[in-house]
Amino acid sequence: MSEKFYNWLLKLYPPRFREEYGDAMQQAFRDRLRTEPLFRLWLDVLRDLAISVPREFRRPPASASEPGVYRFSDSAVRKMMSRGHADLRTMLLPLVAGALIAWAGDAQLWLSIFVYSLLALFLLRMFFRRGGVRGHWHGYEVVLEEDRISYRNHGVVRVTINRSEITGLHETGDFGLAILGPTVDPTPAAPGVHEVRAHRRGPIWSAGEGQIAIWAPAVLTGYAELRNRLAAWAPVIHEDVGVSQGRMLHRWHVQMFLGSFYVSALLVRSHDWLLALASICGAFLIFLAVVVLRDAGLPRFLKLIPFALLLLLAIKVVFALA
Amino acid sequence: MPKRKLDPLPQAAFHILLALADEDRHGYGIMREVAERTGNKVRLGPGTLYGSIKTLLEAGLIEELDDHPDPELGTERRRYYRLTASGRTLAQSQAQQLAAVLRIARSKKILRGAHV
Repeated sequence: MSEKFYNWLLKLYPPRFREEYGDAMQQAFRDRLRTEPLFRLWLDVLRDLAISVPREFRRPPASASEPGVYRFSDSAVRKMMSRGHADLRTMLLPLVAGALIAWAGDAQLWLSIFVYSLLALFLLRMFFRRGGVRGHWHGYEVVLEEDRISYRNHGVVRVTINRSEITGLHETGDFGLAILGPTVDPTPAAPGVHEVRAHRRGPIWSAGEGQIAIWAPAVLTGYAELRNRLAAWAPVIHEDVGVSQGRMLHRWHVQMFLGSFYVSALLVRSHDWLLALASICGAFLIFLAVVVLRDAGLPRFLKLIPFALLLLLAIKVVFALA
Repeated sequence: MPKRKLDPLPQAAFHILLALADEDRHGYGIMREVAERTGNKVRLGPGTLYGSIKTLLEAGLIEELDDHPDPELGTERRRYYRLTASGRTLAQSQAQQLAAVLRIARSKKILRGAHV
C-alpha cells in the first residue's frame, strides 16, 4: 500500500527526472520500507517531496548545450505567452462590442458589465502568463540527429521521424515548420493521424492518414539553422502562410471574451451571489472537461457533450436573468 | 551550469561525496552510510538523493557504474556510483574549508570538548 502510494507520488516529479531515476527511487523507498518504522519513513518522504519536487522543476534542462537540440529561449517563451499585439486585441474586443451594445440599450448597466469583463480578461491573462504556460513551453525540444528528427517534451521522446521517411515540410505562417512522416514511435497519441498543437490553443497542422507531424516553431532557438539543415534533407518546403493561425487566434479571442462576459454579466445582474458563484464554478468545471476531452482519443460526439452542457447552462442563466 | 549549482557545495552533495570516498555504493547504500555516519541526524530522502546524484553526475564529480546486485539486499540490480578524481579533490577542499572554520570556532571558544 505504502509502495503504491509512493509510486503515485513520484508522478509529481518532472517526467524527465522520473524517467531517469523513478525506478531507483522506488527501489530506495522499498529498501527503507523494510528497515525503518513506517511513520518516520513517511515523515522523511513527505519532507523530501516538499523540498525536492520544486527543485527539480527549477532545474535548467541539461540539453541546452547538446548539439542538435533546439529549444525555446526565455525571450521566446515570453513572446509565445503574451503573443504581443494579440493580447491587446483580446483586451479591446469586449470594449468595442460593449460600446456598441451600450449605444443600443441600457448604457450604464451594459457598460458596467463590460468594465467587469475587461477586469476578468486582465486577470485571466495574468493567470495564464504566470502559471499555465511557462513550464510547458520550456520542456519543448526538437532534436535533430544525423539520420532522424525527434520531438521531446521534458526529455521524453514523443515522436521520431527518420530522415529518409520525411514526406513533407510545411511552413505555416509565424508558427514555423510542420515536419511530416510515418511514425516509428510504437505508441503515438493517436495512431495514424497526429495534430500539431500550439499548447492548448488549437491545432496548427493535421497530418494525413498514416502520418505523424513534428512542429518546429519559429520561436525555437536556432530555428533558422534548423530550417536550413532540414531543407538539405528535403529540399522542397511548402509554404502554408496563415493556414490556421488566423482561425486559431480568432477562436481564442472569442473564448476569452465569452468567458469573461459570462462571469461579468452574472456578477452584475444576479442578486443571488451563491447561485452566481455556483454557476461560475459549474462553468469552470465544464470548461476543464472540454480541455481534457479535447486531447483525449474519444469519438467526436462525446467531445461535444461538455460544449452542449455549457450551452445549456448559459441559456438557463440568460433566461434566469431576463 | 553545474558549477554554479555546486558553489557552495550543498550539504546533501557533500555527504554523498563523503559516502563514496571509501567505496562504490548504490543509492540506498549512500542513504544508509550518511545516516550511520551522522547518527541519523542527516537522512537523505530519495528525491534529494537522486536530485543531488544527477547534479554530481552532470558536474563529473561522480560516475555511474554498471548495474549489479547487492549481495546483502537480494537479487535486484542496482545502480552503483563512484567518486571521480575531481569529486575527491572537491570533497577534500570542502573538508579543509570546514576544518579551518572549526579551528576559528575553537579559538573563539565557541566549541569545546573532544568530540568537536
